[in-house]
Parts: sequence; structure tokens; C-alpha cells
Amino acid sequence: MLRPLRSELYRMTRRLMPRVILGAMFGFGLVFYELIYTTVSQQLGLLRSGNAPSSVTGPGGTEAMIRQLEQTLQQLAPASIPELGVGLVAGLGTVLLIVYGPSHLGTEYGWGTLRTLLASGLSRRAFLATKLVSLLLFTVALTALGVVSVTAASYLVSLQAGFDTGGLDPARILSASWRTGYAFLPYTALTALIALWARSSGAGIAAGLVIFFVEGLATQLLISLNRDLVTVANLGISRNVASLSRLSVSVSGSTPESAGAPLPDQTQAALVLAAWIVAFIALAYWRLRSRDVTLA
Amino acid sequence: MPADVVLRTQGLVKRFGGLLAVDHLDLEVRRGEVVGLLGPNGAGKSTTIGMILGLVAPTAGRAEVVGLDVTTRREQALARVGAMLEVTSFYPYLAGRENLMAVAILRGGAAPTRVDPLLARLGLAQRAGSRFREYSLGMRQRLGIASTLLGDPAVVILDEPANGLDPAGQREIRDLIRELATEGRGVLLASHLLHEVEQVCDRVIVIQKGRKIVEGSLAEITHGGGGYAITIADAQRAAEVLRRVSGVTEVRLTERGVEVAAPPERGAELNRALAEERLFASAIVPRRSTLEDVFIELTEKGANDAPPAA
Ligand SMILES: Nc1ncnc2c1ncn2[C@@H]1O[C@H](COP(=O)(O)OP(=O)(O)OP(=O)(O)O)[C@@H](O)[C@H]1O
Ligand SMILES: [Mg+2]
Repeated sequence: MLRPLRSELYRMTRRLMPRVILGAMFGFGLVFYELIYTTVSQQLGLLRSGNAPSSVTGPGGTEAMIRQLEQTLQQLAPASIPELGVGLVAGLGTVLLIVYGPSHLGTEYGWGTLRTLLASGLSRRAFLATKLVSLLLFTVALTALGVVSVTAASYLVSLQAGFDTGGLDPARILSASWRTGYAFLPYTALTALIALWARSSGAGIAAGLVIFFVEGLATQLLISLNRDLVTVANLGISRNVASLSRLSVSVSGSTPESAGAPLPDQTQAALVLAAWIVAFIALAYWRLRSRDVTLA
Repeated sequence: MPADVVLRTQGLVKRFGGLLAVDHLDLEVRRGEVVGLLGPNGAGKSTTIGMILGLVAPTAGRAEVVGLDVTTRREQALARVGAMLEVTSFYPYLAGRENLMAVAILRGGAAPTRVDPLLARLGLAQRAGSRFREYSLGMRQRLGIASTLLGDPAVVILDEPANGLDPAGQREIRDLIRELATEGRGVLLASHLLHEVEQVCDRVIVIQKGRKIVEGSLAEITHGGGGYAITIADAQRAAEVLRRVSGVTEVRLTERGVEVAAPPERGAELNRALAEERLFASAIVPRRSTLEDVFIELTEKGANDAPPAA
């Protein structure tokens, strides 16, 4: 088990794509904070000077608008990293992993290197285990790098804006990161399974993106049709992921809602997602095991 | 299994849906022996190799390497095998050397220490740092062959290794294959380059539509090889005379004379017999029947049989 993993990491650390993905996560974290800061403070400046076009002012007049924007800016401070920062990592990370996960497996088919590995004595089980463990390590690295990036960005922006840089709560950041990282796994496992099944990274990426967007919409539609169907929707992936990524439970004490129905609690969410992950891995193993590896 | 048999298949069968790709194939490779696996396109050579390597699940039968069943004890068995598949596949973004290293790490043991010597042995040392995607076809083949030797294998399996090699490269590989046998390894060489097989193999197995149609040493398969093409004016009379010469097994009339099947070194005897009857040949050219003749004869005969579809 260790030799295959060492070989996998030897290859992975020399490949460009994982580096690009990690770099994108780091870069976007920084850029996003800076972007919010510049646009919001610009608007705020216009409002304060009374030069804002009337379309910008919402209900409640200019005063209310200014307060709202000021609150938004405050979110950029280190105290809000668990909400805004980690939330950003969650959104971006999911999409990046839907791209990387399938590529991690599918390229072995595209390049024909699966045959080379198996012909060198690697068992199918060790192949899959190695792929999954390395993908897990990559997910951990991506999450960690993302959190480091938004934390750095938050400090940079706060220094620029003169915000209070106190109030950083490492324990809450860690807990949020942990849940976010876990919530990445079902989509990663699913798209990797599709890539393996279709023997193509492209298929995994395409199907992954479609499922990611359509499942969220479909569950919302389902609930809006009939609120009782929320029990069905809660067995899917998206609402459980949302539940895990939400932090308002600990903040406000109220049950978070989505599409007008309460999200499953986090323990339930974690368990349902675990069931999905196990199912995807089992299916992948079954498929890999039962299929001949030929040029076809 | 006798101690010196390093690779054996017994009753190996593979069905792809209705297509019978390999049909009860038995083969053996001993240490120090190069065995050619011959057959036309689609005969089942690569499928057979796939089953030996556990890439393809046999429908029936078994394969073993140094006495280890490749299905039930795959890891131990394959630790003793080095195989090059018909399309050489490596990571395009890794250098040649890194590709070998990735396989060597997977194999473990002393394999990583063999990377550089093997690159040198296969003439790739100069280009070891270039990415695989920049390699020419011949360089890819060389890298594939190098990778088979990383694990110091008892059995080396090569699926059309000369594919894409220039003539000098082909000769190098032939020499290398002989060296491997001298080192005591068993080599299974799948090919349809008869010239190549003829020069390196101790034994050949010809398969067609998954079935073994002939097996033996080269001499056995080519029936000790050949005869003579005789250019002569009165072919009719010459044929009568030659039929009586001892050792001649077959006489055929041709456009310019006759062709006789006879063991080698009978040329003088044929000449004398003709001269005694005052028949004078303008040319007596020895013709060795090659593996190619036999191969085409055998496989054309087989091609007219009913297809083996289920
Ligand atoms: N995965 C597959 N699915 C269906 N049929 C297959 C598959 N792999 C091989 N075959 C069929 O099995 C038969 C044997 O193929 P194989 O590749 O073993 O031939 P080969 O002797 O290696 O030929 P070549 O000299 O062209 O490489 C062919 O008819 C081929 O079409
Ligand atoms: Mg083939």
C-alpha cells in the first residue's frame, strides 16, 4: 500500500494540473476579498458624498444603504473568516474538485497508464485505494491552502481599511474548515466514480458540474412543490452539504433554512454524506474489478 | 511443473461476448528460452498476454508464472514478470527517467537503482530528461522495454517490441532479447514480424482465431527448410529424373523449370542426376522455405475455416 502511494505522489507532485488548481484556490481567495473591498468601499464613498445614482439607493433610503454596506465591509474582518472566508473556500473548492477529481482518475485511462500500472503488478484494489487516498490528501491541501489564503486576505484588507484585526477565532475557523473539507468528499467521490466508469476525465467533469448545479435546483423545486418532500431532498447531497457548510447554528442558535425548509442537522448530514461516499467508492471498486483492461 | 518452466498457460479461453478471442491455449516458456507467439491481426496474441498479466479475466483456464497462479496470487506472480504492452503508455508530462522511476517505486526493492543502468542499456541516457510526450515512437518502445527489466524478472513478455524501431534499433532489440535469454530469463515475444521472430526465437507458437495451429522449433516448422529452384529447358523430363533422386520429397513444374523440395546440401546430387541424362540446368538456386512461407500457408488455410464465433 505504501509503495503505490509513494509512486502516486511522485507522479502527482510533478504534474502541472494539481499545482494550477492549488494556485487558483490561493489566488482567488486573495483576489475575492480585495474585489469585495474595492467595489463596496467605492459605492460607500459615492453614497456618503451624495453622488450615488438613485438606482443604487434601496428601500430605507441612503442611510439604511450605507449601514448595510458598512456591515458587508465588516464581514471582511478576521472575526468573520469562518463565515465569509470559509464559505468562499467551500464554493470555489467544490468546483475545483469537480475538475480535479475526475482528472485524477480519468487521465490514467486517457493516457493508457492504467494498463502500465496494472501490468507492473499493481492490484486493482491498491490502484483505487491509492487514487482515493491521494485525492483525499489533495482535498485536505486544497482546503488548508484556501483557508490560509482567505485569512491572509482578510488581514490585508483589514490593514488597508483600518478594521479591527482582533477577534480571530482559530477554533471556529478550524471547525468550519473541517466541515467544509468533509463536505467536498461526496462530490469528489461521485465525479471520480463517473470518470472511472466512463474511462474519461471529460465525462466526469461534465457530469459532475451538471449534477452539482441540477441537484441543488431540483431539491429546491421539489420542496417548493410540496414541503413534505423535504425528507426526500434531505437524503440527497446538496442539502446535507449546505447544512455542514452553514455556520449560523452556532452563531444565532436558530435552525438554518434553505428553500423555506429547515436543513438536516449536522450529524444527520454527515451520516447521509458518509453513506453516499461509501456507495460511490463501492460502485467504483465493483466496476474496476469486473472490467477487463484492454485497448478497447 | 518442471523447475525450468517459468510461464505456463493451460486451457486459456477468452470470450468477448460472442467472439472467441482465445480458444483453449496451452503454452510454456522455459528459462533461457525465447518463444515467439505468432499470428495474424486479431489472432488473440494481446488478449493472451492480457490474461497472463491479469488485465483480462480468463473465461476459462489458468496462467501461472514461476508456479504462481496469476489470478489467485497475482501480486507475487507479477513481481517476477516484466511486460511491455502493444501500445507503450507512460505519463506524458514526466521525463523518461521519471517514468521509469515511478514504475520502480511501485515495484520497490532494488528497482530504483536499476533505472539509470537500464536507460543506458536501451540507449536512452541522452534523452532521459526529455518528457515522454516529446519521445519518438522508437524511443517510447525503448522506454517500454527498459521498464520490463526494472523488477529483474524471470519472465519477460514483449508485445511487438520492434514496432516503430529503425533497422539498427530492431537489431539492437534482437540482441537484447537474446541477452535476456542468456541471463536465464524466459521471453515471450508476440509479433508478426517474422523476420524478427526467425532470428531470435528458439520456439514458435502460431495461433489463429485464438487457436494454436502449430508449435515447434523453427526447423520443425519449416520442415528443415526448403529446396531448389532449377532453371532448365526440358522441364518435363527434368522433373521425371529429379523425382528419382533420394531425399527429394516434391517436384513442381514452374514457368522456367522445376522446383524441388529437398533437404539442404543436395544441390550437387541434383546436378549430377540431371547431367547423367544429358539435361543441363542453367541455374540451381537453393531456396530456404522461411517461416513466412509457412506462416502464410498456415494462416491462409485457417482463414477459410468457419469463424469461431459462438
Ligand atoms: N475489449 C475487447 N472487447 C471486444 N473484443 C475484443 C476486445 N479486445 C480484443 N478483442 C477482440 O479479440 C480478438 C483478439 O484481439 P487481440 O488484440 O488479442 O489480437 P492480436 O493477436 O493481438 O492482434 P494484433 O496483431 O492486431 O495486435 C480480436 O478479434 C479483437 O477484436
Ligand atoms: Mg496485439
